[in-house]
Amino acid sequence: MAQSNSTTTPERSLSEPPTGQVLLGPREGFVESINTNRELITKRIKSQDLKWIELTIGKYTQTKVLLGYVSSIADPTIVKTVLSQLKKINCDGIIDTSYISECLNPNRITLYNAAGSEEKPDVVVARLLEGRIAILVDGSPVVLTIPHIFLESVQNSNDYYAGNAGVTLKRTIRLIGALIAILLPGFFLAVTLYHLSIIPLNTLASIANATDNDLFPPIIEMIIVILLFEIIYEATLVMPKHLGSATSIIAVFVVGEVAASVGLLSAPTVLVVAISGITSYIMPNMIAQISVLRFIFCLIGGFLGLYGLIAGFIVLLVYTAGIDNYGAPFLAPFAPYISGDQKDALEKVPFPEMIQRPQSIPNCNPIRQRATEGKHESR
Amino acid sequence: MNQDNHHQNINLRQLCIGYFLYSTSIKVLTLPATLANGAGNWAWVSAIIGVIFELCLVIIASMILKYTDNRNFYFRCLCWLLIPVMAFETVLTAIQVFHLAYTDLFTNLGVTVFVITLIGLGLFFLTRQPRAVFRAGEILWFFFALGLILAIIPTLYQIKVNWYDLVHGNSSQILPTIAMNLGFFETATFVLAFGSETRKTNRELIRLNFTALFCGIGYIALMILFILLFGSLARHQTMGIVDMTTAAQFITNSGSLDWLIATAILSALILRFGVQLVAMVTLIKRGLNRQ
Repeated sequence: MAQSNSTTTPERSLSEPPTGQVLLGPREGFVESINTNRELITKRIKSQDLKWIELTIGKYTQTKVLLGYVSSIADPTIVKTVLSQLKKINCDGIIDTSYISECLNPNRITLYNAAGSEEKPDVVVARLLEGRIAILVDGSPVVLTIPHIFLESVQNSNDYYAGNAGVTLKRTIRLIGALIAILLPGFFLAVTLYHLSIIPLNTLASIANATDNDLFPPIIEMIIVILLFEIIYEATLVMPKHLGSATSIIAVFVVGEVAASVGLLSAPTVLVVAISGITSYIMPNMIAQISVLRFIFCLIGGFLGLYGLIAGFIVLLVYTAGIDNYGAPFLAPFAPYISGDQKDALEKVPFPEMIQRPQSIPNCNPIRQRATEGKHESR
Repeated sequence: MNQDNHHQNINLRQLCIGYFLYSTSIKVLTLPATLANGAGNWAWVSAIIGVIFELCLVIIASMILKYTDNRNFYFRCLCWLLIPVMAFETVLTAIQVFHLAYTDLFTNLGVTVFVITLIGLGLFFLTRQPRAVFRAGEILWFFFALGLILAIIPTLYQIKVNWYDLVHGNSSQILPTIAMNLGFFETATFVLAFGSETRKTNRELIRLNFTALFCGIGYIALMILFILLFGSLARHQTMGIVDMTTAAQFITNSGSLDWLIATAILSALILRFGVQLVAMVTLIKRGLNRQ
């Protein structure tokens, strides 16, 4: 059991995390104190089945790490595997959950994280009740959940708190948005460099006029605009809020307007990167992956055309579909297609109809609705 | 643990979708034209006989799977016999990818770049587990089916049927055409390579055979459409679905959809290329008795 600390350490008050804002619903977020974070979860799950295993990791930092799970739901094999992985960590110190997340990845070089990151206790509780395991690290306001699947990036807290209307449309838009963010710059290059006949004649004439006096070749220009976008994003991320808005204004006017008007960059290229950039924020958990993939597909589209783009997309699909972290296929319930889990995948049925827990996440208690659970136990 | 994590294996649904992509992708692309080139307007009869022939092979392959142990000596010999067939098919698919990607999508790439990319793709597929390729098929089949529908619907809408073409032909060329074009045992090889990944119950094998039957019926329907559309000109076409698409665009004047259809079919072809490479490795493993 965790020992209570007799000394009072300074602690940030609870506030709504910037990554999980909701229109309606709980606004509490985790803080840097592990005990507070545990309290935020235990006040929502009062069952004795909620178990905590405490570990101390880090030779010098001696960081307290808590592994939480609901014993009657979570798959014990997965709990054992995660625990053994945590015990294997032998390092100087753990500063944040991201350190643990990297250590839990079965493949050292991989595009996707094996663990999901969450800053809101209500979401972590929902995931625990689906059979996942939570990992809390002292000093970090981010809680890891394992296993992690792609669908978590498509789902959003608002989908559950603001009613069912339009949820399917919103999730489809998020998925399409991610595809646009990744593929649009590469597709634009492929079409304008190799497949001009695809573009309608009027649009082709407009693009030709806009790119007539270009200073750089299209691929170089696209790379420059993407790099500029990434630089502005990184700068805005670290600077104070009031300066951040100023930077955004400068970025919009200088890069968007002036650079295009003096012929340094062409307007279609800026427009394509802007659309791709905006849509990349549609999945906050996947921003880093989308940035990397956008750059790769930009190069593929520029050098290999549509053929390369299709081949690259299939490679990405096969690579992503092959990932199984802690017993959960990363693209489930789409690939492999799990019909029962479609109730909360792209579409979302009302909660009373979600009788079973998602099969995508290994668990030892498939029934989640109380009324049906009685029937299940009586068998 | 309540479930034996059955999602980790290839399931029957994935196998059927894989079969659909595998068998249909190359057939709709080229066979209408190559069969019509041999048997003329009676190419659809060749297609029917060819599909019946392949269905028999699929049933035989299912029976072999059902009643033979994978570690059996004869089964391993059969695997070794089928490896050259699959290698030959892989080369054919690579040529079709070249034909569609390099010629019809008019990519201004050097042949060397194209070949290097294809080798890179092949090496990538060989490092993947079969389940990853089949899972990708579960998502891609939708785009392929959409591409086919987009290609066929405008044609159906505008076509002026000339039924005379269907009943007027040269019967003496039917059997030689089948012999020339449908002797690759590819579907049976597919079933033998991947069929043992599933649980092989009677119900599952029957479903797999029905999938083969429906794919065959769809293909024959496409063949008839091809003859109705091109009639006596059919024998002069070089590609099946791509020319049909071009003709549909010409007839309907509905804009440039052909690239969308071509990309969908190219996706299926590239996946087929991957499946064949993975199948070859699987057959080699079976032959060496390494599961």
